[in-house]
Amino acid sequence: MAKNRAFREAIYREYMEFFERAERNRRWSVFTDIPWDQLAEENNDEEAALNAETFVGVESYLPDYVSQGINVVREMFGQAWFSANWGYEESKHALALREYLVRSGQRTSEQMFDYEEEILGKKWTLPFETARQMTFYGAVQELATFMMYKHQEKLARDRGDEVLATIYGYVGRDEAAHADFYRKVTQLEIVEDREGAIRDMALVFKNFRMPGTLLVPDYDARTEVMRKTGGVDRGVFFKEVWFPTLKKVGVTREEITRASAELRKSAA
Amino acid sequence: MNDQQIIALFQEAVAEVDGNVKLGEMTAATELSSLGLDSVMTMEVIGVMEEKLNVRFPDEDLATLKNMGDLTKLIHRLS
Repeated sequence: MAKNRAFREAIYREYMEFFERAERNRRWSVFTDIPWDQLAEENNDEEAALNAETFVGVESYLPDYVSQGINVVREMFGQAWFSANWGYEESKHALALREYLVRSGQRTSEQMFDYEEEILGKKWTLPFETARQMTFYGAVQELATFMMYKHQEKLARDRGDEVLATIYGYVGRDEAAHADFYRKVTQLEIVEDREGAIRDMALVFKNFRMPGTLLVPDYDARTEVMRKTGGVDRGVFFKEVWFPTLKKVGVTREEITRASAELRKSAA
Repeated sequence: MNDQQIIALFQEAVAEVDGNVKLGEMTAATELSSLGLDSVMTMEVIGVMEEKLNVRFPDEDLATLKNMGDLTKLIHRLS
């Protein structure tokens, strides 16, 4: 459905603000900003390597995320250009972690190519149909991913692995910025159609799952290692993602649960 | 209201939200994440309980609930 001019302009302004901040303050280079010279064998840790490899796997569906995601919003300049920029930023995430695994000697280049082939043997598909639903999915998923990276950054730093900690610091900061943009667009959607937007939010929360689920090889075993090393469990999800997201977009949990009940009734 | 009554109230609330959800035997140690409720459904159940108990659970407390024991403690604290 075509959006009105005022809405399109508001999205454009949000994108320009996002992009200006990204260009001025948030750009980082895989080549010059990671302290590769500090790689040390004694910092290698198999669980940390497995977690990094899992993130590489999830981030490696980038061709699907970009190709499918951008077409949902192609008619909205601000969102389409955000998607293009998002793809550039996300492309560095898998790259930096992949380089870390190989340069640190915890994986061989051949292993990473084998992994890549296995990953891309499956295809990610859109979990939701509309731009509004995908925007809110982005708000939740990017914030959850930020929480995971933030936690991994702390673990790496505590182990003295400054290289990995630096990578997680940069990619986590990107994810937080992406979540913020998605939240701001969600706020605009709420102003435009509060009831419809909240219905979509309830739908997304009810069916939410992280993008690598069922795609990345051995995902359950990998998730177990992530949990064991203190990943995002249900409590953290509520505390750091669910409630803060609702608060920032100005929606109460009662509105979400009412919308959910209505969805269930209409599905019956 | 004792812990067992609170657990029974929780079970009633789940049935009210979605009668298709089958809950097994529950104790204070039962993890909320093991019940097969998604995040929204969990909050719907909480909403039903708030209505029945005439209380409002603060969001920050809800975010820390891990098992039924945590929920019973929270209700005792707010009652």
